[in-house]
Formats: sequence, C-alpha cells, structure tokens
Amino acid sequence: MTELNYTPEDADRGNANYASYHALWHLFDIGVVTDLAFASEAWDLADENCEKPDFKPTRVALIDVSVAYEHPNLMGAINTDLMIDFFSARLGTFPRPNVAPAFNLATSFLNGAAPMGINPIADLFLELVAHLPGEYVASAGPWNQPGRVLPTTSATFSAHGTAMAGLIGARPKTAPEVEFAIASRIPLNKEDGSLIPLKQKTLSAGPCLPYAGVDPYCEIVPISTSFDPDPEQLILAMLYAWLIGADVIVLARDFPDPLRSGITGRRDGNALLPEELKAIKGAYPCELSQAELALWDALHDLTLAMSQTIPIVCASGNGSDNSMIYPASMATAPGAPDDNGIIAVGARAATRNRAGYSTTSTQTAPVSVYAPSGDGERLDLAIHRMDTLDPDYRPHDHSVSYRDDLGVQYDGASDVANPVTDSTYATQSITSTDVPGLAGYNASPYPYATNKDGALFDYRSYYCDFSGTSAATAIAAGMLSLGMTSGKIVKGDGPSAKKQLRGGAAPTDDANATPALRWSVL
Amino acid sequence: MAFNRTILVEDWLLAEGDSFDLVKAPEPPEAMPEEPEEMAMAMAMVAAGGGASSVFNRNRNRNRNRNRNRNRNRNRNRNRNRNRFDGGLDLDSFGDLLTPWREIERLHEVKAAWVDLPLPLPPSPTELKIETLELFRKLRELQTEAERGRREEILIEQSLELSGYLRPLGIDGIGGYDETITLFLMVSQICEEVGLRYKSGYAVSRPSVLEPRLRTFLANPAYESYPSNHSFQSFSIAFTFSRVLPEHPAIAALFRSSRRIAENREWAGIHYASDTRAGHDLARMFAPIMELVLQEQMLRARAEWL
Repeated sequence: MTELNYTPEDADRGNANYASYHALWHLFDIGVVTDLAFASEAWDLADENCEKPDFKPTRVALIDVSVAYEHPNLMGAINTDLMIDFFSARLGTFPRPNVAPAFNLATSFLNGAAPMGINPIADLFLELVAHLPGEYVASAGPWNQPGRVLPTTSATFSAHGTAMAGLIGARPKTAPEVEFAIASRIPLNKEDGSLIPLKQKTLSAGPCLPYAGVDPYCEIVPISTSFDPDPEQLILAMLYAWLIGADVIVLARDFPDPLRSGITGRRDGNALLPEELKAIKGAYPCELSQAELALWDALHDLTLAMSQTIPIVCASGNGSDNSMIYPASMATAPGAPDDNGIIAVGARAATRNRAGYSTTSTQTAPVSVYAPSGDGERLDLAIHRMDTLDPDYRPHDHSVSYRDDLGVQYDGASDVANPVTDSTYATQSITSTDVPGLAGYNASPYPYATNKDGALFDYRSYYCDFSGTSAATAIAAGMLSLGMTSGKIVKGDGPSAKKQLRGGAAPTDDANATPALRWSVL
Repeated sequence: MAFNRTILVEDWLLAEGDSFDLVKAPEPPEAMPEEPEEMAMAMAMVAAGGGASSVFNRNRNRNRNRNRNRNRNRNRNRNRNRNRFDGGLDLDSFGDLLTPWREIERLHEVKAAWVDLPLPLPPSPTELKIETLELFRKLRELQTEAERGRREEILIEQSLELSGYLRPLGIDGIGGYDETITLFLMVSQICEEVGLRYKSGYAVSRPSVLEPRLRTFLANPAYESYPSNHSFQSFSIAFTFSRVLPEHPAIAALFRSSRRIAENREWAGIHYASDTRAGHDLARMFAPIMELVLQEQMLRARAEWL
C-alpha cells in the first residue's frame, strides 16, 4: 500500500510570518519622536513647560465607554477625581470620588455658565450643576446605600476606553514602579523520585512598561456613556466636559441621531437629501416624539457651539464609504464661513495609504486630518488590498485578473527592499493599553493579571492591537493635546486648533490620505 | 510632570504576531525567546490573543472572519427559544437554559444595591387616563393594513423571542453565537425576578382595568403593570450587550429594536407609555448589577465576537 501523495491545489496560502514592529511606530510616523534615542522637540518643550509654576496639564475629556484606570501605564494619566459615568445614573455618578477632605468638586467647575441659552440646554446645565456636588459626596459612601445608582464602569468591559486613553496619554513605567511575577517551573521527576530542575525563566528585558501615549503630560477625564440612542445622556456628557473646562473633547463614537446619520455622503446644503430622510423615517421602528427630536436638535447646536472654544476630535467612521458618522460629518473646511472646531479624523495605514475602511469626505464635510491606524482589507472596484500573509488568504480563490495587484507582502524572511512603501496592505496595527487578564482585546493565559501583591504575571495582556478610525482619533487627540502642552496650540479656539493640526487650510485629498498628522506643521 | 523617557530608549515593546514582547534595545539576538518553554508560551498566547475580529475597530483579518462565518452551521436549535405554548398565554419560556443558580446567588448577595433603585412613583390614575387616550389611538391603528406586521410581532413577542435582538446584530439563525444567546436568556430570567418585585410594590392596574372601554389586542397578564417587564428585559438585553461589545456598529439599531418590542405592548393595549419608560429606566439603573452578576457569561459572549 502506498500513501496518497497529493497536495491540494489550494494548499498554497499565506504563511502568517508577520514581521514584528515597534509598538510605538506611530509616534515616529507623526514626528513626535524622531530617532531611537527618543529625541522629541515636542516632549522637550512640554518638559520645560511642565516645570513652570503655573503649569496646568491639558485636560482631555474622553467621551467613550469606561476606562480601566488602574492600568499601570495609565496611572497619573487619568484624573480619577473628576471621572464620571452617565451610563446608569441619569445625571451622572462618580466611580472613584476623592475622599480627601481638602478636595472640593466645585473648584473644578471652571465654566460656571451654560455654553448656550437655548432652553433644554440651560435647564439641563442647571440641573447638572445642582446635582453633582451632593452626588460626589454620596458616591464616596458604601455601595449598598439605599436609593442610589451605581456606575457602570467595570474594568472588565472597558477595552475601548482603555485603548483610547493609552494612545492619548499613557506614561512609561520604569522598573521601580512595576513588579513582575514570573511563574516558576516544576522540576522533572525521575523514576527514582529524584528531581531534575529546569532552568527558571528569565525576562529578556524589564521589568518595566516602556509604552507612552502621544502626550504623556496631559490629564484624561473619562466621561463614560452608554450607546442608548438617548440625546439627553449625550447632552449631559458634553455639558460635563464644558463644566470642568476640558481643553480637548474626544469622540470616537457616533451620536445616533435618527435624522442626521446619512446613508450616503450626498447632502442638500448641510442636511441629508430629502429621499434619504424619507427612507430613514420610513424604516424607523418607533414613533419619534417631538420632545426627543428637540433634544437631538439641541445636542446638534450645543456640539457646534462648544466646538468654537473646545476642539472636538471625532472619528470619521469605519464604513469604507463616504457617509461619515455624525458628528464628524459636521466638520467644516478651515476658513469656511461657518467654520467650527469639529475635527473629523480619518485613518492612514503604515504604508501611508488611506486605511481600507476609513470613511472619506462627504459632499460637504471634508476629513480634517488623517492619523495613523491599522489597515483594512478591501476587494472592490475602488481598492484591491488584501493581507496575503493571512493563512486564510488562498491565491487560488482569486482571479488572475487582479491577483497580482494585491501587492507585495513581506515577512521576516522577505528580501523586499522597503516593505513599508512596497506593500499595499499594512500589517501594522496600533498598539495600545489593554484591560489585563481575561478581559480586553488581548486575553492573557492567566485569568488574573496580578498576584495578591499586585505584581504582574503577564505584561503582554496589558497591550493590544487597536485599529479603526478610533485609534486614529485617539492619536490625533493626543497630538492636539501635546500641541497645547508644548505651547504650540492656543487653548480655547476650536477652529484655529483644527487649522493648526492639519497644517493649514489646504484641501483634503482622500485618495492620498492628506493632510496627514505631523508634528512639524504645528 | 515630566515622565521618564530613558526607559523608552533602553527597552522596547515589540508587536510580535498577535502578541507582544519586551526586549532590550538595541535588540541583541540572545534577547529573543530561545528556550522552548518560552516559545511555547508565546505561541499559546498567540492562540489565546486571537487577532481576528468581526468588530470594526479590529478588522485586521477579514479573511479569517469570512471563513469563520462561512463554516458556521445554521443554528440547529434556532427554534428552541420560541414559545412552546400557543394561544393567549403570556408565559416566559427560557428554552433550554438551565437555571443560572450561581448568577442568581450573586444577585441576591448584592440585593442591597438594586432593591431600592430610584424609580419614580407611577403616575396618578388621572394622568394614566390621559395616557390611555394614546392607547385608544394605537389600538385603532393596529387594525389597519399598515400595522399588520406589528400585529404578528406582538403575537410572537408574547413570550421571550430573541430574533428581535439577534437580527440587528446580524446573528439570527447563524450558529456559533450560543454564549451570546445564553447571555440574553440569563438577562431575561434575572429581569423577570427583579421586575416582578418592583411591579408588586407599585401594584398599578392594567390600562383596561382602569378603563374597560379599551378593547385590548392581548389578554391582560396576571401581574401588575408598572414597570413593564417586557421593556425592562428588552432594554436590559441592549444595555448589557452594549457593555459586552460597544464596538458593534449596530448597537443603536439593537436599542431601537428593543424599544419597538417594548412599545409593542402599548400597541397591544396592555401597558401604559409610563410603564415602558419605567422599564427602560430600571434597565439603565440595573446595568451595573448586570455587569457584576453576569460578568463571566458576558466575557464568554464577547469571546465569540473577537
């Protein structure tokens, strides 16, 4: 008997031999860091400024899901005193109030007046300001007080917020600040009961956590929200950012306004086309009340008004089309008569091509700036881009008519001269901070991240691959914050901040993913 | 405060495959994992980390997802959650779900945190009568041709029926999401118990009891009206899943579907709008309890998507 000697034709597939890369490649790509000595004009300027007696860290309001604020790289980056949650408690509650007697929440209320006078906004602002100080004291009490609502901020379900926060403002941690626990090895047991010890495992580097966000000087205030299409919750989250005097607002999410989220990127003035509105209304599963539509209108006006003073960094969306999510879809071109401080961020892969999924400009709203992120596969008339290293990539599934266009892929053994420029698909994702242990984007083989003394079992699970226009938005927000920390960008002027961040008013080129985020143009 | 930049120069974090490695810089060859045990651990982590994702901000390997979905079976048990009782009975059936005794035990351990949530008191009978006017309109419109689909939905939704939640998420009738389905069943079961406790405290009568001229589409269930348990369960599924996978692009659609399922009980004439709103508010306030009590099942469900 002879064995069957046949190799199926489709056995040819991607070998998954991805090259490794530096977790902070994006800091080099945007020019914040210029060499392996981590020379950085930006960080040098920030170093100088933060020594000044009147230095106030740039305050970044992160309207997202909750953040695993105990992540070692986020210690010092998160303002846990002001961190608030609007998921479960209508007027907000504080996950970790400061119990020091000297702390008074009201001293953090930097803007005492509502940003605009229209009715629902002003009323909600007064309600919020009246509620928060008492809530702060009460939320410092035990968890089992009657009549209270707890925050919905478990670290376990905070992956997105944690990755966002890390990209914006993580701090590197040195050996004295972290402790690694290394699992010992059980010796081999011989027939006679004697033992053969195994060489104990050692770390190749560390213990330390050499990871940094774009602006490791800023303070991030997490404002956690749910995804309930509830305009009131979003108004209150925005008003809180206003109240605490945020310098930057980050929105890597959409506002699910029923009548402002387009199907396509076509527009009638600043509104959706009548036929799109008709389609959306006809398919809407519930009856929309006048009251809720009025609140959505108020949120729209509030966001535009606030963006005049606080730049609002918004993800443009991952739809691969030109529909752009709302509120990014309100971004204006710099210098436009109705210019605002809404910054729509698109994603640019390590190849410097637009990422395959990144939403492009609508008819009226240009992508403001393209920032680094991971890539996405596409196979359509517009873009041929696939990860040919993926084990599920089988060349024989594809037509020769386009297969050669899928581009050069590189791996550890490749002799491609310059993999970054010679590839069409970028295999680099963005590395960011992750919820440790089982949860998060990158699960650890250890269910618990630390031992009882707080030593880390597995530093790998503190990091994850992150991508999408979310990652690009976090990096752009970090850059904006760093621009303010270093004194290059003036706080309090949204439209100017946008113009500076994109390096002027040159028109957006979606095909070439420009303007790209670059320190040198600030 | 200035941070320590030197550490970035001395040690590098590298992305390696689907995991990470900490190495001395400049990277000496002996710093790479060379012992078989370390290599095995690194490989195990690659497997555990899993780079593929159907979630939009992690869409590195579209191919892998596509094939994974193609290889999934049609859900052989797709009817298992359907009501097995025909007729006008308003029974909740939890299909094949075993009683989640561990979760229920935990629920009772933290009872103090949810037994007195600040739900507003129900409207007075005078205000309820004004709400009843809307129910008259809805019942009349329900009989029109335009609302035929809603009539069918209302009948199906008398018992727990998950397709209204699975369809917006794109997994109705697709295998491989058993933990997500189990999570939704657990959420519903926990809500039933908690909701009945709240209902009993307020003891609000059903709309047609207060106003017998209201000819309802469904028979009145045996328990009180405020808050609506259909609403509480329906929104709890949405709130809980939005913690499990906030990255899913259809979360808002899930909430809207939950809202329609909740409001359909008004169209059937057996709930006031204030009952529906209270169910929503209770689900929102109860969400932190849910993420504590169901944490393990929520993680199992999340793993199906990443």
